[in-house]
Amino acid sequence: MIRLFFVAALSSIALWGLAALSALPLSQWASPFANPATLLPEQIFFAFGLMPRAGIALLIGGLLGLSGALMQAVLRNPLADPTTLGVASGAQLALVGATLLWPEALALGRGPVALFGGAVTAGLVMALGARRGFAPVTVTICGMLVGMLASAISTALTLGQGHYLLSLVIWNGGALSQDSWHGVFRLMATLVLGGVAAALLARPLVVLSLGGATAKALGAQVGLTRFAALSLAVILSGMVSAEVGLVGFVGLAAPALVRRLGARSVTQVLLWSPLAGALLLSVSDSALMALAALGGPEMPTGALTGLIGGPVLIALLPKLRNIVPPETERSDLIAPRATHPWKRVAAIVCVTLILTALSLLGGRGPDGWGIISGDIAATFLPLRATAILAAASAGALLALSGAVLQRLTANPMAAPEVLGVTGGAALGYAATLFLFSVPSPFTLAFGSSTGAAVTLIILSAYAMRSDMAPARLLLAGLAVGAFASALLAAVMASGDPRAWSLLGWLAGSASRASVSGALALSVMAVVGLGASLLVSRWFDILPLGAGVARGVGLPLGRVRLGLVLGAGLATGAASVLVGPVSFIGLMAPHIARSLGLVRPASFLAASWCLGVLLMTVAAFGARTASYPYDLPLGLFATLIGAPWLFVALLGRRHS
Amino acid sequence: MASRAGAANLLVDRASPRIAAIDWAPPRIAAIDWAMAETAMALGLPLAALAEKRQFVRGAAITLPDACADLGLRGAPNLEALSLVSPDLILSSNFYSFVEPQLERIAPVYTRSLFVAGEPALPKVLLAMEALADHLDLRAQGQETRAHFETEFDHLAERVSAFADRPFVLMTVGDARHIQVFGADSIYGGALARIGLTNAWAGGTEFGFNAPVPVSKLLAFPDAHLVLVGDVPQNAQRAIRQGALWSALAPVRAGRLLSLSDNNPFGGAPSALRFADHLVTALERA
Amino acid sequence: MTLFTLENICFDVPGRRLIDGLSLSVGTGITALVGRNGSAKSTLLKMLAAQTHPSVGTIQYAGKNLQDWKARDFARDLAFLPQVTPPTEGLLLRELIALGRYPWRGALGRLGPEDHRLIDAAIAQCGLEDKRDQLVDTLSGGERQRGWIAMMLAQGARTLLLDEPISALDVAHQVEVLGLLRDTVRRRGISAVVVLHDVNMAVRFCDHVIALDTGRVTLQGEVRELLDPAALLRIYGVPMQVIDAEPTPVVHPL
Repeated sequence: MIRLFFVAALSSIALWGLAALSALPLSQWASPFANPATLLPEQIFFAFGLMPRAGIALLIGGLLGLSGALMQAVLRNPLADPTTLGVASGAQLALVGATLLWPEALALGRGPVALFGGAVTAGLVMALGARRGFAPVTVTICGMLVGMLASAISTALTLGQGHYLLSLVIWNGGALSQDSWHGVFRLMATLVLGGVAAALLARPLVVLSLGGATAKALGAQVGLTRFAALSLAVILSGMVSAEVGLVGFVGLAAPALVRRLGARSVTQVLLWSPLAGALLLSVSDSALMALAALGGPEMPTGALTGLIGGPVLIALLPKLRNIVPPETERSDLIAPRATHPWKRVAAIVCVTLILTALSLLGGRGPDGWGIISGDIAATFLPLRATAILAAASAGALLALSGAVLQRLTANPMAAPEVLGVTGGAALGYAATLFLFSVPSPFTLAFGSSTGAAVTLIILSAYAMRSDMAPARLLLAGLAVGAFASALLAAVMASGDPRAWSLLGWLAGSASRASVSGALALSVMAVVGLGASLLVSRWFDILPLGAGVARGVGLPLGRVRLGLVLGAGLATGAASVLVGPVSFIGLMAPHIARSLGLVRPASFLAASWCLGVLLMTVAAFGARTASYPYDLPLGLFATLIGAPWLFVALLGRRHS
Repeated sequence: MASRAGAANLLVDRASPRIAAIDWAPPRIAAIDWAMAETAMALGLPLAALAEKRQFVRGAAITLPDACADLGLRGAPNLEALSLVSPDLILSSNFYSFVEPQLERIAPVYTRSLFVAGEPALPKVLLAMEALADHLDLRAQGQETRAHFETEFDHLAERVSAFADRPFVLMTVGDARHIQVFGADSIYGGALARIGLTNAWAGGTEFGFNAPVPVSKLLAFPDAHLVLVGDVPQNAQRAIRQGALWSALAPVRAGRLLSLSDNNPFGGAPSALRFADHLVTALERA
Repeated sequence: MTLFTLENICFDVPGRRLIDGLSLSVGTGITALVGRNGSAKSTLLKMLAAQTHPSVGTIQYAGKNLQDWKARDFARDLAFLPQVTPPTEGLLLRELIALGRYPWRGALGRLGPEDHRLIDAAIAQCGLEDKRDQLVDTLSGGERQRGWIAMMLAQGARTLLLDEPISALDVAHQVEVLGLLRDTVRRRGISAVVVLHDVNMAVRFCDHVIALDTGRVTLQGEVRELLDPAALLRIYGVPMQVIDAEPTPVVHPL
């Protein structure tokens, strides 16, 4: 390990030197640090730009490595890091909000604002996680939900302001360029203090690595240790967020790397991760600087680490087999079971029909709220009906995908969003946008469906090997989702005009659907429901696991592949309209279950119908809340859904 | 000076009565793209509706009629609000091609490709002015308006002929360490070239979501005038006044830092003219 | 009569060969699969159930290579119970047992009177008549295990493969489940292969024994052959004594 680190350090120095030499000849390197007023601009740039940048890359890498190692040690979750736990998104939301609503707050610098945002999200995640004894997968999923909610709101705010959030685009990309030593001094102090605190926490964390129950039996203060270590990790990553923005994956990759290189104990990982993180980021940043010095493109460092880190992480996933604790996280409660499930389904259908009719006829115009009047109904109703049909069909498709995936993986937290499928759809959409100069809506739908299906196939290929173990599948999905968002952030930061339509799509809008598009979606939704009801017996067998399913002669490989492809297609088609985040796929099946609809046929039908219901309501809200500014559909669905999910998660106490 | 600053406004005020005088009912025009909106208004056509009106009003070179309806976001215009306006024509640009199929359901869409990376935008905006006039059978009107703008630009060019060979860097400030530079493919860059000044920034820009560049890039232009357009964010103000790198820049030391008031970088010829006017005024004051 | 014939089986896991060149034949009746932890008994059982496949070599079941069996035909003939039975959210006991008819009816076919007769018979045989409308997750461990065995019976298979079916049960339930298994196998004239940890239970309820040690057979024959201190030492690596008792002698580590 030491030899590898040595090589990394040398190459980092060489690359940085290359960039520095192109800025200032070697003979003048020694000259700076006198009175800046007497220096040449090149010397100033060297002394106050290049040198602190080298320092800040090392410090940030170290802080993120330490933060990630702490989070992973506490949560015993090899995929925990500031990005996956929602801390970074929380900091981002706070900064977006402050920029738009209270710019004066930023006069003091970004630090306090970002720390506040990160702490609030982390607090929320931990409050949710505490109810489930900090079970790794639950905490990770809570973090992701909170993170997605925060970034949905950020996106909506950014969108509402058009092009004007230049500073946030920079921030998203994680740019490391410097113009003074202040940042280096701030982060150095943070790293020293953080390192001392981490050293104090090392031994309790070793005890904790044996599992909560064992640690308690050994007399460790489990709750206190967890709280202290997580707070420390959040502060460290919050300081990084404030200083340079989102630098993803370093916190994730550094501990994974040192573990791969042979660090075994918690102490070793804590010790080596900051070093690995520092070198990782330093090499990436120096390489970018050298590239730019040689006339290559400028690129934000955070975007690069995302691009490299994602694939590396996915490659590391199979190795996680032995690291993920074999902890079962199944629901402790006996699910309610309705005596007359179809009566409940009928009631859901009635409510859905009534609300759909109301949202078709009622609404808001320049003169306020009201029912649509007869004279303009002829022009209005077709427009509105198209939008509602499209939204409802998209909701149905997402809900159905969610229901199918939950049954397939026997995991109540599986959903297109959670499994990274919508992230894959987003990548497919972005790829289509860049491959074709003027892509048609159909091409875009096909592109995002392909992206979704490819993601699902990769995931299930991975999952087959680990026999669909729910925890591992979710973690793999999470990695894909994180990779997708890193890539999208890179696209945003690249300054390409197509990023504009990508940003618009990320938010989602129902009114964008054409008549034929809406009809195609609705046909897909109906066919999907019919097909899944036809094979509903599979959904009884699949949750019982591979052993039982093969035991009763289910052609498991083909069934899984078919369902995964179907869910991928449905998700891709729906997310063209709704954008990648909506939580409908998670929420609708959840509500169906909590209504006691546990048998496959009624469960699927109810989920489908609830998807329609939720998305119709979301579309109505998005259309009316700030008329005439159409708010993002996905955002509205998230706003309805996320709080409900939090309540549902809070309710599921750990026994 | 005031009359020049309000040149575009005067133009509209002067043009509108003439249209009424020849007893011609102007078409109801809704605009999604701001540059096309300014183009239509420069031609004296009142807008019935405009996307993101709230934001437009803040930096616009032209006053909107009160009756003009807001259409919501440019990227996701509210189709219901648009259909309530019942426009005869919808103006759009290549930025919004992805919503055009939906717009077509309501009214014919007139769209121009204005902002393309690496291609000068101002000539295209001026051409669009004539083309739109042609499209609406207002050929004379179009030629006259364009000629008016060309004359105004010529006047401004005369006033800054002393600076003819001096390089300029046009930018907005993103944060303490990053700026967004306007290239020849922006209307600001176009206006700069049109009044005979040189844009020092030869590097590519990508209009619409300009790639931010580090402040250190400005070291390459020791002889240039640095032109800041629009408000400087809170956290960047201190850096510009005191930061080591900013104060080490040769143009800053030599006092060649100009600060212009907010404008509309996505506007049309009126915004370009107003920007040029502000720039010339600032140069004359300096 | 032989149920399974294994020829030169190897099984690899990353970095290690778990089973190296195992040849074996398994006959009818109840066969206990015993051995220390890591002796690859569960792996062997999973290979017999076609849940996993050998890296090298072939396995024949009823004279036909496992690869040549169609999934549903195989499931009609052979039923498998995994070591850890999965949670069955929302399923009633009768619904779980009805899933045993999947190999016969598939995803679309309706369950006919014949199916219901077989399901009822399985429920009755396992003594679960009064539990049939209860949620599986609310049953006791022994009842749940009997429910799973009832599902295997409803499958109508001629061979049952069970992976440590009693490892999570108390002694009373262990006796109850293995007793049920032995009675059912005898009454229906079918066969079973059971992975067991407890030698005494194997001796009491099984006919034959196969003992494995790190992927090699250390003993194969009548279950009584286990009652030999030398054989036990070979299998488990600890000295054991055999104490005469009723109904069968018991073994005890020294």
